Amino acid sequence: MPENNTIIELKNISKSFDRETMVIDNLNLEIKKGEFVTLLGPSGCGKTTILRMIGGFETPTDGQILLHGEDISKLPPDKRPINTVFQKYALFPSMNIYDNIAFGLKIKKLDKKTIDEKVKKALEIVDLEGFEKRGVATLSGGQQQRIAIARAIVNEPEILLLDEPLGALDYKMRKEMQLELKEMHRELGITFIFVTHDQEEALTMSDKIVVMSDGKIQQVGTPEEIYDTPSNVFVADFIGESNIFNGRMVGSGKVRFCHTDFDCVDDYPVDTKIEAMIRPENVHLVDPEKGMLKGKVYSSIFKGIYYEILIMCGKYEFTAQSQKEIPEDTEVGISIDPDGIHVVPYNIHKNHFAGVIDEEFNVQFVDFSMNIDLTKLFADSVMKDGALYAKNGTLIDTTGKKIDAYFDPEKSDLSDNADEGIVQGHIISIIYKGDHYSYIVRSKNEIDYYADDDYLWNIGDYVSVVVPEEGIEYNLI
Amino acid sequence: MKFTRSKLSIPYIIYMILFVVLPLLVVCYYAFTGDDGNLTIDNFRSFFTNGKTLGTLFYSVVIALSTTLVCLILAYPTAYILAKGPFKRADVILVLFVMPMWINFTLRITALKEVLSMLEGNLAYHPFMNTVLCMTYDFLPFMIMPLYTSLSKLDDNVIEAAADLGAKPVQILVKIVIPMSMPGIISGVTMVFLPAMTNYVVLDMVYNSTFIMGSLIGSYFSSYDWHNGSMISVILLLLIIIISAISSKLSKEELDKPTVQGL
Repeated sequence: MPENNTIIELKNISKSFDRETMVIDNLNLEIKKGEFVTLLGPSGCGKTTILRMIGGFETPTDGQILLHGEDISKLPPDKRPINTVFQKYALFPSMNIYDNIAFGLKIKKLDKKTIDEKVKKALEIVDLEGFEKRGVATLSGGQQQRIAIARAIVNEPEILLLDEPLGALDYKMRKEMQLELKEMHRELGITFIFVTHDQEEALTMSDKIVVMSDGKIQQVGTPEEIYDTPSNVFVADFIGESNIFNGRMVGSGKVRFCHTDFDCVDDYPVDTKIEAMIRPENVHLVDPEKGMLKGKVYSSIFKGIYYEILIMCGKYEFTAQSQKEIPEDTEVGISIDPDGIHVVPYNIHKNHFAGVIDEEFNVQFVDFSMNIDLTKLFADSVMKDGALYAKNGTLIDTTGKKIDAYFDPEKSDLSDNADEGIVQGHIISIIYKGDHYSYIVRSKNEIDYYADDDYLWNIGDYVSVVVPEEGIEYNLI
Repeated sequence: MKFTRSKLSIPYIIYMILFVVLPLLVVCYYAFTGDDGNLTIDNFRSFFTNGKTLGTLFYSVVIALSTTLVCLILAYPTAYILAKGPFKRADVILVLFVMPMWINFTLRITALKEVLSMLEGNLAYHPFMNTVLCMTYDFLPFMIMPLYTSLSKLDDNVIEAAADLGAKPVQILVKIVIPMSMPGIISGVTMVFLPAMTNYVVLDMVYNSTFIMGSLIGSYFSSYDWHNGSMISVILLLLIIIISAISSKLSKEELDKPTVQGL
């Protein structure tokens, strides 16, 4: 039962364009009345597709879109109380500003006087009074964008969709429009759903941010939540900068990474593998002897309001911010407050994949097959004459038995020699972990493998994941 | 002698003088002189007082208008589907539509004539319809091409925006798509209307014995009446200039519209 103040709800929404690749994968999202919600993610993450499904320009392959509890997923755009502001404005070039804004009202057959009033009011809201008679081509990009907004809000929609509306504007104009949009949102009191790939824009404007990647929601939260407590390393890496390290819990509120113990506020059972994220502004530079870690500055770059300092602590690299320049090769100490460290458990589902044993005692996985030592899987069994026998001499029928395999990303490497590794694919994600890079490699069967490598590859590179035989663990399931 | 780029135009200028300007002057000379060689506007007057020549002008205009209309009605949906439909290689399909133009035009008409006579029995029963059909077949690509170009330039978001604002498909077509494809419509109409006015080969081939402007000139010339024949050429030329001027003004207005209103 949806709450009263929920205006729109996406339920188990999936979308694929050619029945092969899932653009949106079983997505659930609830948006409250009057909220300013931003869908944020890198290009190709499916955020625009979601917006287009809400607007009625695409139909979900699966799932429901509930507006006030009623499914509207099959309704055409004109039957929804929702209007869209398009990225490239999409004004009607053959009409003047008045006719552009009045377009929707004229179709609703309102009388001339009402239309005049509404158009005038809409122009006031977007601060372009007196522009009625102007032509579209005489306006600047920012002005056209305002007209596009006026044209949408004049219809008094319950929800306004904005598809990267500020993407084509220059930096200053964009800053101004961000504040104005927020102001308009307050004035109109309707729900705004905003799509952007600019994290700063999302943090500035939104009541609620939905971080997306790869057709899935990574995190939903207020800007503060998203920034301060990212739910995974992707979010931490995408929203602002972050130092990310692998580590483990060593006690209650104690975490160990970079060979050093730190106090932290998050708590997980001892020995849980974790990922620790520290924002550069939370890395305090102190005298070498006072720090928890000692390091040496190897780069100091002026960024306008601060210097970005890169420090090597042994083999780990830290990014920090400093108000004053610190020359290269200066010895510094690093100190991090407990609330500056955000800890999330290391995703244990990584790199688990299922396989089946075939007649030739090979394990067939989705992407590859492998010959493994079956005697290790079945306790006290022996291999004799090409068949597997239990200790008491009975034949074990292994065909069709299911296997769960796992390898630790740390034990794997990447190679551009396709034959070298167990599986090949394209790199879809890179995260820097201080002393190595953490990669996600997606195979042609759409299975993701997590692999670590010391070297920097590029997104989209076709690589092979190399795992030594002893690095793979098997279990019967 | 120093070589300048403008000297490159000399061959073109010579060509233009020899094959365009001089013949035109000759035509004008004959048009405005009588058999005795004196200047006169009798030929001009007789064209507009002679029922036969006026009838021919009217018939030409009707033929050209019908052909243009049929072409537009056939070409617009075709171009729209090609430009906006779910085709991965619309350009290839477009070439298929244009391909008949690679075959000689009389051959094409002959082929179509055979089909028509199979269907109708005797071509002489429907001379007007056959003429329009053959001309449409001949000129259709000239209508599809500019329409396709202007429709494929039309931003899908604009159509979606209209739907978003509540417009039904018919309203979108009438209020958004057609006005925005006006430049394509104008150039398509120009490219079909003008040749359809004068193309008498088609009429000849489908045994349409009514004269149009082209055949009228031919008939005067074949009876050695250079003066009246030339006058009709001049009148035709004037018509073409007027029509081109109107259509170029229209398409210019269409392009400049937002700016003009903005001032």
